[in-house]
Amino acid sequence: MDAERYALLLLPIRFGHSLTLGGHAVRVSAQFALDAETRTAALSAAGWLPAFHQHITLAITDDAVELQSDRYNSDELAAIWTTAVVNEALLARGRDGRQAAFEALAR
Amino acid sequence: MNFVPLRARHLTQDAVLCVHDTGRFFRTTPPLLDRLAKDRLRTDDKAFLRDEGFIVDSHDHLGNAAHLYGLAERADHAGPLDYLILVPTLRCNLSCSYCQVSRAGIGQRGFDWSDQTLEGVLAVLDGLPSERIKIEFQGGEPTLRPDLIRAVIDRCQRFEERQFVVCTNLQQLDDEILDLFDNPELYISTSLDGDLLTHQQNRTETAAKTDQFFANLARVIARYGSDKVSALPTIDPLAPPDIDGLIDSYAALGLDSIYLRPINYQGFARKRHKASREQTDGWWAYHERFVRTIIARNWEDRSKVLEESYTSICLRRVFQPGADRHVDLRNPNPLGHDYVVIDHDGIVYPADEARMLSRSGVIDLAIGDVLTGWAGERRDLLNRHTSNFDDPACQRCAYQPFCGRDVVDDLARYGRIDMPRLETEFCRRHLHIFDFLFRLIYEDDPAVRYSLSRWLRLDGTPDTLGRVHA
Repeated sequence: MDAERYALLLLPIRFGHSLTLGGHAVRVSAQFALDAETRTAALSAAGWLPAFHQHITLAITDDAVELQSDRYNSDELAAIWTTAVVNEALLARGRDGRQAAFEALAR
Repeated sequence: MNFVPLRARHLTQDAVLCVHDTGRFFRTTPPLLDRLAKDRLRTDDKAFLRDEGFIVDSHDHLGNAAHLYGLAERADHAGPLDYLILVPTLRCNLSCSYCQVSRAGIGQRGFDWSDQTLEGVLAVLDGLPSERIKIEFQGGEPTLRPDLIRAVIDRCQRFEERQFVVCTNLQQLDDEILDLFDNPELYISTSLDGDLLTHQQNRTETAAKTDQFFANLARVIARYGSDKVSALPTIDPLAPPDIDGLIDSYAALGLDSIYLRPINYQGFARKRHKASREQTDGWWAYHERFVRTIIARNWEDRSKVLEESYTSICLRRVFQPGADRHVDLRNPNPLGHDYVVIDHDGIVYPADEARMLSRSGVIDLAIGDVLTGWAGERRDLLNRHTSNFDDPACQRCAYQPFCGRDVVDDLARYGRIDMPRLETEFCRRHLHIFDFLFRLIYEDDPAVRYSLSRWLRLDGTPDTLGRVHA
C-alpha cells in the first residue's frame, strides 16, 4: 500500500464546525477519502463503525465517508476512523494465522 | 510467516488500545497503527511487539506454543458437574414487583419438591464425579423448607470440598434456620435495595416487614460476621438510588461488595418493568459515577476495600483468566455441563434465567429432569451456539478474549439468538464496561490504581497496570 495514499485516506478531507451553543455540543462532522487501494478495508470499517460507536452516524459516497457525532470532536472522529480502518486491515491480514492457530488447538 | 493478532479499539483522542488474541494488551497512538497497516514498523516497534509476545512467528516453535497456550487459557472449559442451583420451593413470603422467578404464593400447593424429587436430587448428588460441590439454594424463599436444605447438605458430606449458599430474603429467622446457618460452609446471600425506604418500597411493602428484615440482617451479621453474608441490590434504572446512600447502607453493615444489578428482564419484571429489557446511557453514566465514588472512598479510607462486584469480575477477566467462575460471562459458555438448575418440580435447566423463562411461558428451555437425566438433544442444541469465536462482530472486537456469550439472555430479551451482536444488551453492556475499565487502567491516578489493584487481589499497587508503546 502506498504510504502517501494511506496517509491521505486517514486525513479528513473536511471537518465540520465544532460549536457549543449554550453549553450544548452541536453535531460535528468529518470526511475521509476513499481510494481504490484502501477501499475494501475502509468500506468494511464503515459497515461496522456505527455499531461499535453508538454515538456516531456514518454516510458513504463514492469517494468519501462522513462521520457525524454530537459526542466526539473532529480529532476524536479522525482517531476513531483511523482505528477502525486499521482494525479491518489487521483482521484481513490475520485471518490465515488465526485459522491456523485454531486448527492447531483443535488438533 | 509472521502475523500480529491484534485488534484495536479507540480509547481517547490520542490513545488506541491494542489487544492480542491471548488478552495481552498495550496502549499506543494512531501513528503506530499507521505503521502497522503500512508494514513500516520501526526497529523499536518490532522489538516491542516481539519482546512482549505480540508477534506470532511460525518459525518460532516455542513462541508458537506459547501463543496456543495463551489462546487455550482464554477459552473456558466445562469441568465435571460440581455446581448446582437447587430450588426446593417456589413459594415465597414476599411479593416483590420485579420478582424474576415468578414466585408462588406462600400458601399455594404443588410448588415444593415432592418426596420423589428429593430422592432424585439426592441420587444426583450421590452420582457426581467431582470431589467438590457448590450448591446454591434459590427459590421462591428456600428457608420455607429448611428440612429440604438440611437433607441436601447432609447428603453432601462425602465431598472433600463443600460450599453452600442460601439465597434468602431473611424475613424469617427461627432456631431451625439459624441452626442451618451455623454451618461454617454455608453462606448467606440476600437482597438489600438500599436504605430502609427504598427497600420497603421495592420489596417488603410494610414497615413491620421492613423492620423485621433489617433486624434479621443485623442479627446474622452480628452472629457470623460480614464475611459470611453477602447482599445485592436490585435497582430500577429509571429511578436509581442516591449513590452515597446506597454505598452507606452496605458499608454500615460491613458489606464491601456491591453488585450494581438493574432489574432483570425476567418474571414479573417483563410486564411491570418493561424498560428493563435494555439499559440506557443514563444507567451507564450512573454505573460509572458509582464506581468512581467507590474509588474515591477506597482512597480516603484504606481500612476497607469496597467494590462493584461485576466490574471487578470483568477486570479479573482481563488480567486473570480463570480466576472467577462467573457462569454468565464465559467463552465458550457450555450449558448444562458443569452446572445445572433443578427446579421445584424436578425439571432441570441449564441456567437460572432459563428456569425463569420457562416459568414465564416465554420459552421452554428445560433439558431434562432429575429422575431421567438431561444429557440429550436439547442440551446439545443449546450448546451449538455458545461461543463468540465465529461471530463476525466479536471477531473484530478488541474485547473478544475477555467477553462471553449468553444465549439465554438473548432469548430472554429478543426471543432469538441470532440478533446482530452489537444490537444486544449483552454486547452493549460489556462494551461499556470494558471501555470504562481500560480508561481506568490507563488513568494516571494513584487512587484508581489503588482500587484496581485491590480488586485484582494484588498484594501491592504497581506503578502501571498496562503497557504503553508510542
